[in-house]
Amino acid sequence: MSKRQLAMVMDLNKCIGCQTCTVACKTQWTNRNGREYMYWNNVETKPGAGYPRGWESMGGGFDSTGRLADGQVPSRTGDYGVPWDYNHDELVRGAAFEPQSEPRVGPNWDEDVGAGEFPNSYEFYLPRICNHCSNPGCLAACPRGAIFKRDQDGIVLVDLARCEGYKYCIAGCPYKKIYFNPKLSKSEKCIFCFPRIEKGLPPACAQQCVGRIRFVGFLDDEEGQVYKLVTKYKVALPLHPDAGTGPNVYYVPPMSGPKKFDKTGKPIEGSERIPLEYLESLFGKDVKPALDTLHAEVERRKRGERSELLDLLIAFKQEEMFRLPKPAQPAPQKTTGAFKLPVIQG
Amino acid sequence: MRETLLFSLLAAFAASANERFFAAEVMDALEVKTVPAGPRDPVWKEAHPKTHACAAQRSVRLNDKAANAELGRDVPTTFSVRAAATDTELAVLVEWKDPSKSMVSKLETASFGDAAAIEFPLKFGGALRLPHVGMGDDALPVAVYLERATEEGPVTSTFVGGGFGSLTRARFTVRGAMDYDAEHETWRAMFVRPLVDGDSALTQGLVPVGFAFWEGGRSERGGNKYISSWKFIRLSKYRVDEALLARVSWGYGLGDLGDPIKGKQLFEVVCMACHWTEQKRIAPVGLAPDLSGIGTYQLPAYIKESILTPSEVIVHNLHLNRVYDKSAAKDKNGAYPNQTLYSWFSVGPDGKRASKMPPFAHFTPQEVGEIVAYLKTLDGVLR
Amino acid sequence: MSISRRDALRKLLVGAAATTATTALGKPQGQAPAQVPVPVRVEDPRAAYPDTLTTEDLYRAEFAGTYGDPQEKGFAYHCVNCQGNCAWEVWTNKDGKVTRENQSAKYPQISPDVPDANPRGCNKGVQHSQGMYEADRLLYPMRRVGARGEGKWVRISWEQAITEVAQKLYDTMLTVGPAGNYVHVGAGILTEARAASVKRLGSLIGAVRPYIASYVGDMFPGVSVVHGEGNIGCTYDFVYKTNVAVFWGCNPNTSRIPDAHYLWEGKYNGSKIVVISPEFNSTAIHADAWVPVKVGYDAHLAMAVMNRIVARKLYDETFLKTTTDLPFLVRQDTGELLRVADLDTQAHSFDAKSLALFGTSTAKKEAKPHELFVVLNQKTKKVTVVPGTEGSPVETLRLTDLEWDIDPALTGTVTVTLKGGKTVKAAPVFERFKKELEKFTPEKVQKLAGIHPAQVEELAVDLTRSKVALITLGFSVGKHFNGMLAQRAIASLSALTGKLGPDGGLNTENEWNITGLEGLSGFEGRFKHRFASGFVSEFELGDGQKDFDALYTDDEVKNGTGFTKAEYAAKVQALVDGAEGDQKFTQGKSWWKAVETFLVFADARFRRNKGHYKDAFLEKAKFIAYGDVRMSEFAQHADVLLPCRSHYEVWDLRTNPGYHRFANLAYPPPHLKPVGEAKSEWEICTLLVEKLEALAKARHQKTGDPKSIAIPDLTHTTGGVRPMDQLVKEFTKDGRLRSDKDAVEFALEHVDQFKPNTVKSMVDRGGFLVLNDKSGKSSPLAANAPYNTFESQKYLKQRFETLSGRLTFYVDHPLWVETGAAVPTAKDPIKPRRYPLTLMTPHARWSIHSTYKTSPVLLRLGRGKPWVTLNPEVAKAKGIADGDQVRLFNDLGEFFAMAKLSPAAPPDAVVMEHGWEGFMYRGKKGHNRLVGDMLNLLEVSDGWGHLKFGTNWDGNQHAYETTLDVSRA
Repeated sequence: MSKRQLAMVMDLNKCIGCQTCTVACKTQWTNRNGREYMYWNNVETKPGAGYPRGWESMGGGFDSTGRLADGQVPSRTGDYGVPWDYNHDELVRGAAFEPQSEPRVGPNWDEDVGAGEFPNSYEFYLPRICNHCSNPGCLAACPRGAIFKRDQDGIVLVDLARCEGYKYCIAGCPYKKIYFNPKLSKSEKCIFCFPRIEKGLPPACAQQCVGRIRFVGFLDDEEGQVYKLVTKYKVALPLHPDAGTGPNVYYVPPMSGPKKFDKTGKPIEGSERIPLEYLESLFGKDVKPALDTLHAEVERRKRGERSELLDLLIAFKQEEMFRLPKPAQPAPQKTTGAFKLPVIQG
Repeated sequence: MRETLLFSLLAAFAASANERFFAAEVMDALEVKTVPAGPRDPVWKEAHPKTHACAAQRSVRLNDKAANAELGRDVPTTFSVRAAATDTELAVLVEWKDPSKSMVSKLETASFGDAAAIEFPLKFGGALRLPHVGMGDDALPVAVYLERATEEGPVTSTFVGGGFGSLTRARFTVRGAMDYDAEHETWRAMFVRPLVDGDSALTQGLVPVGFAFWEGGRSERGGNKYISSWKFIRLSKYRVDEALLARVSWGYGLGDLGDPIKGKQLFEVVCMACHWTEQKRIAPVGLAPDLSGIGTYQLPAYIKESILTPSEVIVHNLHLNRVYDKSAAKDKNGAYPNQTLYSWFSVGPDGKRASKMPPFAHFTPQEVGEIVAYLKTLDGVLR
Repeated sequence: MSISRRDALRKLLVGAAATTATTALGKPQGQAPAQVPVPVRVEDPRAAYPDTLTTEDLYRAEFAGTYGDPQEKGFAYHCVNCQGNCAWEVWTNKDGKVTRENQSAKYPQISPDVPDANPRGCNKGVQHSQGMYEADRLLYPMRRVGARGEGKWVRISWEQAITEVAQKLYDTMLTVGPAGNYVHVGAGILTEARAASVKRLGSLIGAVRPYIASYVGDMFPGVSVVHGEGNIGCTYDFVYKTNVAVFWGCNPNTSRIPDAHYLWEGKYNGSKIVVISPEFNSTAIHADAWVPVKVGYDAHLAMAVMNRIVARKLYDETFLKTTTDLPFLVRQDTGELLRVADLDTQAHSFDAKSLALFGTSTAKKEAKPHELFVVLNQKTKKVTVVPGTEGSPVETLRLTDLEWDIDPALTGTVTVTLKGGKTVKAAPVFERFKKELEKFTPEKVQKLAGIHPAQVEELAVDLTRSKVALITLGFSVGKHFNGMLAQRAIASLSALTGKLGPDGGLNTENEWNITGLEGLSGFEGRFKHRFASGFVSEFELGDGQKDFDALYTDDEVKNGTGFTKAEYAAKVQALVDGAEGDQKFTQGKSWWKAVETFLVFADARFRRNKGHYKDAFLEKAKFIAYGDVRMSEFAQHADVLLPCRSHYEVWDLRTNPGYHRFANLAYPPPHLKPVGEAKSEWEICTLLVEKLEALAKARHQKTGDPKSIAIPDLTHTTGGVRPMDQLVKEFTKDGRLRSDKDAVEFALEHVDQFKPNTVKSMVDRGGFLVLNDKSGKSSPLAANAPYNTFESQKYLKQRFETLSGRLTFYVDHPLWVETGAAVPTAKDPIKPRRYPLTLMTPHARWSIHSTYKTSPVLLRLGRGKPWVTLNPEVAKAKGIADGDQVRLFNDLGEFFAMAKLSPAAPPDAVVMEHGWEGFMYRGKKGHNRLVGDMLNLLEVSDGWGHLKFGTNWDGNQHAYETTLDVSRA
């Protein structure tokens, strides 16, 4: 167990679904070397099948007794989607611009679909990275013990020296946030941009989040927004806590949005567009109190009163959203480094 | 397949312990000037094939839904082996039926490749016991040679193993080849290694060798695999180590084993509280090794020794994080501690590891023989 | 041993090519190691791990490879037509290749109680570098050798390319005249420094240049009618300060990504966010209220809201009296505004003193009786001239001062005596306005606009009773045929709420007052370009009449305009013809039929072309030279291709529009490796000018024909000729202005609002400068508060730039009176009712129009090819499933796309993000082929008060006036 735990809070009321985080992560890490199909950071429209398609019903995590549960390994062709390429080079020859393979499924396939019926449908955006769990399902699942948590910040990493690409970790992760790299024949995942952290830079997805929805800091930093939102005000909740992995990414749940309409088109007073049951299926029973707190604070604000909570969520200065350790190379640790690399293995 | 197994057992009863042992577990290496060029080299026709059984590895349970769904559908499986030796090299050819050719795909994440592996002890002979057949143990590591089918051709890799979870890549000198015979729906994998290299010497009359197979179509990889018990290659140039022979051939002599029915009754009274078999599962999963396939992949001698002196070989469960203790308090980062109940050994004050299974030294030789006899009937197949 | 292996993996992770280690017999796997290897077991990886460093070092090395050296970074903004304008850091690796970019995020917070603007920059900007090296990048000059669009090219040298283009421009000037050339920089570059190069060239040779905002259809003419200018409003941080923020026909979460956070931070701050849009768009999902207006009925809704405001007297009477023309007297007989010029100023009922006060010429300004208007002063019961109108030298809206005290009546009628003694009845504009509003009761409007009266009531109250109420008007409202009237109705609604400056009001697209740049794109009027109406030029170039005839029917046109198709088209054509060519270039919507030689930059215009525009255009265009970075569909049809530099490879400056108060710098990374032979627009234009001068001099020498170096141009030069032998001197300001870098330095030197700044200060600050207080147009730009327009009008009672000097409700242009549009009103769409679905093509999340539309990174975050969003009910009825290929069709043609089913789509429309180019569809048949249009008569009408052709009064393209049907393909 790590000494400290770095965590992220994402405010779903501020997420606009622009995926700048997704692309920032892609250009930083996953546009090369067998990672092309991976989205260490993705944003999906909820309700929706998400990425990989149907991940929420693919098992993994721990059962109620604390025992690792069986899970599935998603299919790249059927669940993730093989990134389709284009014929840019043929345009000069007067060709039409087309994908080289028929797009059938992708990381954002159900964008802006949601659920319900016009004009009463509902949707919101859910950005997802690795949760760098306190009891990681991937770490538990690896029969070789090739996944570890960094002592200084609890970031979960795959030991690329030791990983044999068995993919039990993928089955074990209830969020399907660890991926198989067919080129390395090893598992890879979001590394919370630790090389950036070590240089005092926030993770690319957080620093480049133009919606300003992401706070990064240590769970035990009582002065930090993460601590205040998670522990003090309890408005930031983990996703699928029932999976039992102790995720360290927390979400401020979405407030309900515009009122629903009755048959005559009249807005229904006090109607909830997003069903509470749905939010509870994602964030557990703590959603209701969290939303009550948020609504109460907004009402206070409308009355012109101050609210520390809302000041935190508004985040007046972006740079202050990140509370990172002072840039310093961690003391070198011993390495056995014993492995070879046939890049195709199963 | 099942028939051949029965046949070899019956044959064993007819002759002396050694003969029965040789008949069942030992194959002669064909003496050649140069090792065969590949799996299809006609020279192999001259080598006498030996057919062996293998069974699904059940001691530990992994977490892949797809692979585990297959566990209930284990089938009796055999493979055949040929060996050939020069003065300096040993070649082993493994053949097994496989109607479905599966290869590691470049595109598909949920695909797995057919594969075969063989293992040799790094040290053996004399009074030394054999390493645990499941990729060795803490005291006695093994060398593992793996051959796996991928879309880009077969890939050879080598490891040193000290039991489950300890497999570590190592550079052993080996040449591998793998080849699918579509006509006979048969895989052939061939391994060639020096008799003597920097890591181990096989220059003995009886060379222990273990086998493992993976059916990619059943999502098999890592611990999800079929394995055999230790088998032996006879190198006629070298003399047979009698001590080794005496130790491993126990259970093949008349009277070594008793009535399996009695053994079953005793087992169910004494062992069922911790161990699983395919037929009966009372203990919580993972409390002790699942013995469902033990009859196929352990020698009688090993079973006897692990009943009498369980701490001789520490068999490892998968690492501790697979189960956490929900009754304990979370730490400040919200982490639960591990549930150590499922670790199969305890560490004494002297730092020595002891199996959590107590020694059953009070069993009479007959009781032991009966239990071993029963366990030898367990091939992992649900009936 | 381990080291070499680690290096193998490092190489792979850091980007070197992967090696595949397959083995065969005879190829040994490794050699015998020194000692027997030991198996490694990890008992509890969560608690203690033997080797973290091996893995960590790999990722550290990979990061170092992408992040580059801080000294090596450059700055840029993505100068595209999203207008977002965000400062970025650009990183190069040791090979001088751009590896990635990130927002500079150094913008200062203007005040502790206002969230800062960081990090500005979106999903498209963050991947620009990926496209720089894409295979559709234009790398070398090329000449077409096959048929247009056939894709047969030869690579030519810059010398050849420049010669060819210059020759064509020059020949056209000689044979057709300057009006034969069409020199234009498109929406791909909207910038102070870079775009000026092409404008400067066009001005120098007198070429035709269409008004860009109009020809892309992003104008607010209806707002100009009311406020005197179309681009008004606030910096987006103002939204944070509102109590109610209405977003009408726009979707900031998708198309104002860098600014959208102010909505949700504003919501946390207690603001009520309201979205008015036919579809449940990505902003509506988080809003407090959503008003699902039926597509095309925004004007009706606005009228209904005004109906309630007036009926419930929710307005501020004093505001209406002083700041609007509602008290102005209108003749009951003719419907004309009463002007002093028409009145018997001796009559007893006329307040002669007011005329003396406000109608007497001064040294500064001459009084114009036909632009002096009157009200009934309730204090004196006399017809009284008011100050502040266009014709009055007294430029204030103050109605009470030391010398005067006017309390204008808003209601009632009065008898006035005209010149010559005739008396007529007159009443305030307000009376007519109220009468018009009576036609638009919420109950009636609900039948058309589908909005429940309760929501209308709620809007009326929210907009008038909240302290700060802001209406942000999107571009889509103007894309309907009668959209100008909708914009006007919404602008009138905002006017009626009496909100200005800190109280809110209307927000379209704030424009900063940037002065001193004229010298960059122009020549102090000595040489002018031919400024053409955007929408008229495009309509004529594309022969829009033909599509109008094919798609629209008499009934629907009559219903939406009051005229038959033929009548309407005839009226439009008469006005259009009247404004063609140089003879009447000052009247109406100028355009030039003569254009035949095209030099165009950064304008993928075929993504926009409607109906059969493309064919008509290609027929008219004798020669097309095109400069761009990539092979767009338009590029495919060019005759000569000029490869240009992208935003990371040039120097540039960008300020407007004013979503924020920063001007951003484009500053190439010091060691950036050039991409192909691409040149900047400034280099290209300078080369062209040098060649033109050389060609002219050569011809003069050869023929002695004086015309060679002095091409006549009476209308657009002060000297009457284009001096072709002086071009280089003129264009480069004696050599000082040749490159994009020169242009940036010129701008920093000459623009007051940039001072005090240099390239260095901008670089040190993080790639931008903060505009100074001189930058506000109608309000000062306060250093510590969000900006909004019209503080000067609110506090200093300065006049608006309108004929009445006030927020204008009444237009007595004869055509407007004739068509019943003298007061704000709403007219039905003319879209064909025989098709069930209106085609809605709102701005995209995944591209800026067509820019970045070919980015695999972005395409993979959608459906990979054009898709249309259908309501599931509609799809079900037609047997269409999600992912199906569907055929969409009407009389103009068909196109194919993937169906996406979403309950966010209304049942009466097909919603598809726009920007797809025709060549991205099956058979290269794009969605715009199905789009018809007609110039709106009122938008074409001209010459009334402040409604004179120019950047504030041109027309729109109407992309939303098309219906179609859909079936499974």
